[in-house]
Amino acid sequence: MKWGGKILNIALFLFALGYVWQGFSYSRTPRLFPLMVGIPMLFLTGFQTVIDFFPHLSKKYAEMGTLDAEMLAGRAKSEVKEEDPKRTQKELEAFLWLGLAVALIMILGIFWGIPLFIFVFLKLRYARGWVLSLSLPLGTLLVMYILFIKVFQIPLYKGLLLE
Amino acid sequence: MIDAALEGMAMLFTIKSMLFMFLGISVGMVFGAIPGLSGQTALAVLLPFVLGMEPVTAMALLLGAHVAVEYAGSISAILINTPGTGQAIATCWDGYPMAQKGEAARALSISATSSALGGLFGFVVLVAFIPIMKITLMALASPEYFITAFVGLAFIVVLGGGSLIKALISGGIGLMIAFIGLDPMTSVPRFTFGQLYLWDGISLIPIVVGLFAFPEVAMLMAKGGSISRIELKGSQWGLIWQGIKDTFQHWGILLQGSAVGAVIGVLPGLGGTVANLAAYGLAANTSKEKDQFGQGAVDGIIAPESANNSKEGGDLIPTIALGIPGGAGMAILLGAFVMVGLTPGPDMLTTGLKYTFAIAWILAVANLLTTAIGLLFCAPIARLSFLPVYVLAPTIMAVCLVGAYLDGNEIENVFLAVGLGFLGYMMRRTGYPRAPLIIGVVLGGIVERYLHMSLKLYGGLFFLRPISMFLIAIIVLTIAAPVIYRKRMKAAAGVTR
Amino acid sequence: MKLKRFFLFFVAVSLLPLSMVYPPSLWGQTEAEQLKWYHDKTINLIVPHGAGGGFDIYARLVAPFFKKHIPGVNIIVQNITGAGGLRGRNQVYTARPDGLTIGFTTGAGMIFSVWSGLEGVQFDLRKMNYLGRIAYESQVLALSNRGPLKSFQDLKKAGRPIKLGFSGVGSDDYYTTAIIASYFGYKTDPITGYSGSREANLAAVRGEVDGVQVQASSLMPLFKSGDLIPVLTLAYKRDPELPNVPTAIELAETPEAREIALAMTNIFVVDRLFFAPPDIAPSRLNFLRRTFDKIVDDREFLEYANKAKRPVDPLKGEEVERLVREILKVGEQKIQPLVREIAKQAR
Repeated sequence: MKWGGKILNIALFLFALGYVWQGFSYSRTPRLFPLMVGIPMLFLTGFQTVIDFFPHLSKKYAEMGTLDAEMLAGRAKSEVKEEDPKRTQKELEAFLWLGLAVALIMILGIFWGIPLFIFVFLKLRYARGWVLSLSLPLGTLLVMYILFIKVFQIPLYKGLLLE
Repeated sequence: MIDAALEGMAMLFTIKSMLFMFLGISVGMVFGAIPGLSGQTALAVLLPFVLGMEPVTAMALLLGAHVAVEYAGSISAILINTPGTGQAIATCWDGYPMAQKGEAARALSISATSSALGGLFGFVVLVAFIPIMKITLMALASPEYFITAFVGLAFIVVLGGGSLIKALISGGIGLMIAFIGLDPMTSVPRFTFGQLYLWDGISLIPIVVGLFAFPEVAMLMAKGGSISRIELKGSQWGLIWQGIKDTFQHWGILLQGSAVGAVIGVLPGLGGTVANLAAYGLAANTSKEKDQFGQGAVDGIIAPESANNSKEGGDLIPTIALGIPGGAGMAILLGAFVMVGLTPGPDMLTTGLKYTFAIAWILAVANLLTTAIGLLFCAPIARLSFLPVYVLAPTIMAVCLVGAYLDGNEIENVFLAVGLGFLGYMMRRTGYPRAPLIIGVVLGGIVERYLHMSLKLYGGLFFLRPISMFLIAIIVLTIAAPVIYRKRMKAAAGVTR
Repeated sequence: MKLKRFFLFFVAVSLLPLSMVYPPSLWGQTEAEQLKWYHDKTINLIVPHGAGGGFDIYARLVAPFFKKHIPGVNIIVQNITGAGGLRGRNQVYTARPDGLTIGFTTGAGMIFSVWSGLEGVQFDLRKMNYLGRIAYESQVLALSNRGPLKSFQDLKKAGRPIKLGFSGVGSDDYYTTAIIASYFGYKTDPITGYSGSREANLAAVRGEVDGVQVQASSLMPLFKSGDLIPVLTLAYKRDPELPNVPTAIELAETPEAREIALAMTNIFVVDRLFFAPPDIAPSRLNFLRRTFDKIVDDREFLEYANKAKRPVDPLKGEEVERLVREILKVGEQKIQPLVREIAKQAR
């Protein structure tokens, strides 16, 4: 995650910039608090973005918190050691699956989209057997039916297809 | 007064009332554990059944559900780093790390026990306050609300851990998110860009689900294995018993958390969400384990869990005394009061005193019952944290996405949750703490409103009111005392070296 | 005889286009046919207010009686809060007009949201269909007992704007209090920002603000205890539980003030009503209206409502529609500009 930190910093800075810009378009009372927060944020995010390009500076400020160096060292020791070079890629993959879940929900609605998602996940991603891949989705279907349709009668999103 | 107390107790301990309390607790547990289903929805669903019931039975049902929701929210907080209700947010921060260490059962048991004891504290407060309910409510106004909320914000600094700048940025983002929506003073839509969906601001559950749950799922999928980094080792009961002991041993923080909860309960308008965050923040400052906070500190679970239950006692005070709900759940309870023929107000403290006591008893008993049930189920629930990733990952994703939708029945929330999930992931990987963001979101609106009103109604020197000064003094002392103490210890240690 | 044939031919031909507009299937579908249609279908009752609140309780009280009077139908109550009720109301208005989506809300709220020029309002009150009103609450202006103002006359003598607490600009009481004030000779200083009407009420009891506008029934305990002093009600007649509190109409000192007081009172008369999307087939709309009438006449329902301490004071859908049109006619000229002005000033 070498560049991730810097990208996030810049993104936050741009967010603050847009926020302050928009904030000025409001009249006196509504703009007060947003600007009171937004303007200092502009400085903070800008500062953080800049110092992250200078390793010794960013390290110094990273430790300037309420926990002193001793406590931080103690924490660092108990942190799990990283060994996986492909870690980031695998983690981002999870978001792709989330995206799939959202897409299925949007098309089929929650009631049908979720079990389908679970099935696809179990079968395709983790190549589990048919028993598990079918029973978990069916179980979910059953639980949703009992909870939302029968007992509490709370309507669920129907999906674009079925609306 | 004593006979009213006894009469109230007699009304409660009938088979019918206890049965309904049990039913209420079961319903409450389901609603509490599922993110997105709130206590308010639970009460609304139960409300129609209350018609025609006797007052005490109805209260047993509703308050039972209400109490159970408080506790159950911590179940998903501990297991999947997502609070089932806004009142369990802080429980994630030390509950989940404990589950990761294979000690989910201990965390669940601490949560259950603190909830019970916190609730009892709230019960005592409620009873003690009965004679002076009204005076207390009259004395607390906008300035006091503002100070309480503002101090909560200041706790951001503590929860930073590490980079102060990043903590402040995180809190700032939270505040900026809080200001999205209709401005409370002039109803001008801010930062909504024509989207009606954003008028009420951004709901809490999608934010929490996104920021806390999704990054964990991602990391889980990359790492493989299960939530707990350790293998399942036989019986969980040892851990459960350990949790119970922990809670009693850390009675200082228990009392502190309960006190915070009770105070916030009395101030209608600050909810359980504020209570658990404030208690956590205060404990993070004053606990002996403060360096363990965020890593599975026992105090980190005790504080919020006791606070969000003791708040209930506080919440009932304005509800019973004036008929003004102390919290969202209370508003529904009030509706139920009327429906069963009870009139909140001075009557409840004179002719209806036995009902007031019955309600207080219900609170106490429901707390204990919920905890008992909670402890009973600790073991099987804790085992969930040992399930393999291929079962957990899709289930967590499903629960969280559905939960995001259920919070307000808005499908846009789902997109929001995923988007914030990505943000939360980036923050996690690059050293930005996420807790301050939540605090900013929760407290931003409150701080803005009360500061505006305090200035408008009392002028610039509003904080010179006696109660405000008192509050400020207490907070300063609570924070300063341990710091000074430590400095003195260090100095003394330095001398002997 | 040729004339007769020609006449018949003429009649038949002219009926043809008529049948295009009103296809035979909708020509007075009988009640039996409507009942059959609704069998096994689900009615969505949308409540643009919070779960468990005053409106929600009414809706949930009525819902099971739809099931009773339309056997075989299922009804789900859905709370769609957001934007002060706007989201839910929009959703009903834009729903398919097949009679399966209805809503329950306050007419006053809808009227004010239209008049204040609120962006995002998608409904036209003249096109909206009204099924019936179930009850209305008289609004009461109440002053804090802890303050120096104790009666309506004090308001005029105060010599300063009256601080009233509100949960936000755009609530009905916000506009109502300002309008009444401007026609009755005093000024208001709105204190907005309370997180709800209950908090504003507490502030009034505390004396933090001079007063609030509330619904009579919900704050009766505070009136009885003396914490709040009611000084004015917005209703046709004095509230039986508050016999010493005059109505706005009574207090009006000029014919203009009287007209405005009457109009304002009317606005709150169309309070708790069931409504439906525009363009529902007339026979279906009629069926729904008659079902509503049956429900509010149902002894079992009235007993239920009584136990729940919810008053029932029904008004037929057709009457509500007439009243709304009347309110819009008078109000659009006299009150709407004022409302717009107030909304603008608030920013």
